[in-house]
Amino acid sequence: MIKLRGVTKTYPGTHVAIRNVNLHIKPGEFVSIVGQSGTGKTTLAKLIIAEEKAEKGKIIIGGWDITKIKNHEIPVLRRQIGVVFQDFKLLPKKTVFENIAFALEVSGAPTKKIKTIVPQVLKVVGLEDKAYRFPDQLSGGEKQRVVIARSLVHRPKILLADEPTGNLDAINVREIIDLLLKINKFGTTIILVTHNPDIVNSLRKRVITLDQGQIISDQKSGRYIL
Amino acid sequence: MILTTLGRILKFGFQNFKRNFWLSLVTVFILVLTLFSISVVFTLNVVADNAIKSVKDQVDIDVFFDPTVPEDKVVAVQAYLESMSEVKNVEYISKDQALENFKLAHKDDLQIQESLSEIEENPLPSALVVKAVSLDDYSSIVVKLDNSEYSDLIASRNFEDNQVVIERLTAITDRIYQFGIGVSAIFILVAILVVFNTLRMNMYTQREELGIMRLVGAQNMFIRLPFVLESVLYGILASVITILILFPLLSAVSPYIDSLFEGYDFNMFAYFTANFWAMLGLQILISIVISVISGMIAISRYLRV
Repeated sequence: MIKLRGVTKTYPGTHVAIRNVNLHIKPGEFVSIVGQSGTGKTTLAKLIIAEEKAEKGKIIIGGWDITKIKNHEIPVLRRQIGVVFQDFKLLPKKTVFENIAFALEVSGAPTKKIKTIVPQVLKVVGLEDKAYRFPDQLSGGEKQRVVIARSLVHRPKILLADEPTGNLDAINVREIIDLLLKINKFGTTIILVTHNPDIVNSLRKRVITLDQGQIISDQKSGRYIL
Repeated sequence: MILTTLGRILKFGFQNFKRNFWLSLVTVFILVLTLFSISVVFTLNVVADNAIKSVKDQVDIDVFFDPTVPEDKVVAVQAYLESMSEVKNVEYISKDQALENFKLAHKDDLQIQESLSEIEENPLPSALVVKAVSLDDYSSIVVKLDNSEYSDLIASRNFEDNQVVIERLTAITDRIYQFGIGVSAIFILVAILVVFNTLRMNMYTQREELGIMRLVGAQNMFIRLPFVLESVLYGILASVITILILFPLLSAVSPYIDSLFEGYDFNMFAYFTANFWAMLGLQILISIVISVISGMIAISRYLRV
């Protein structure tokens, strides 16, 4: 599903963000990428969704070498990878329904399709009854569920969650992680970037630990070791 | 599918316009000023062209004869002039006719009327009014006439005056035209910068939305076309407003301008109404070119996808 071969990325004027990373994530896996702040976790996530380009090495996603991806191909890639961020990135002036529909609108989906898909994904995240609320009227956990619902509209094979629980309290964290596990059961590959030891330890799934831009451990059923 | 896409792009474009309403308004206002100055230059050009044309039509050589010259000699000069290939026509104005014309021209001036009635003899000379085929021919007609056997009969002629008038008029209109072109060029530059800045501001205020669009895999045209559409919208709106201001204004000043052309077949307002669609089309074209050029610059600089 996802293969990284000797991937290196430097930011000009600073240290190396990612150094010679080799990684293989199989379809349907649930992988946690952990590490302290500034160890290159987010850079790694950005490389996978082609928001950054690698200097060295190869990134292959579903057989597609995205190392030299062309600008007009990026939208195609983005529709295969659902993305969830810590800061939600919801539009405050749109309702929950509209926020989710927006993702379909701007990728040219017909209105009919939008009307069937949005309620479906709302049901997956359990927010059917809050479709016409605005983001301000939702709790942090609910907002993040909206974001997850939005990331699912293209039925992605991969869901990339970068610190999805960073802004949430303990109960909401549990809800989100359970939701990710549920989506994973449907067959979607989940990549969870986090620095929360409790989550990682409770999951008992594969854990990749990054330190100073390099993978220092990759355990099948791992624990937070830093 | 294409219709849905188009509809959504239209929706986003109008949204951009509405969200930064005041900024959009200022942009349209600057475009209106630009179009207005171009229109004024254009109008001046039309008026000046017609002015020069009508002055050129008015140009002739008035050949005045000594009061002692008998009529048959004058007719001989007329025949001589008419034989020249450069001459279009020659009109003979007898002493009596000259007096009639003079009385008519000064019919409101009591002093002149009184002094005319006091002089018993007709003081006016007979004259020939010579029209040349083209403006350039006048000097050669004058030279030929001066070197002919009839030169002694001629008391005076008035050709040089007209030449000076034409030269002055051309100089003035050229100067006004150059000035107008300069002002319009400055306005065009300002308009391009203003549209550019407005779109940049819009992109800035929407950076969050644009970021989300990229994140969820929006097609590039959904990100870019609304801004192109927004700039086209500025152009169309500015053209319509300019026309709405320009035409009432033209109809208001038209009588004054037309009065300058009394006796000539020129009606400025009629000229513009006849060319209404051409002018509107031209204005839309100019404003869209201006706004799309700056839109493209803004998009290529700030909307790298």
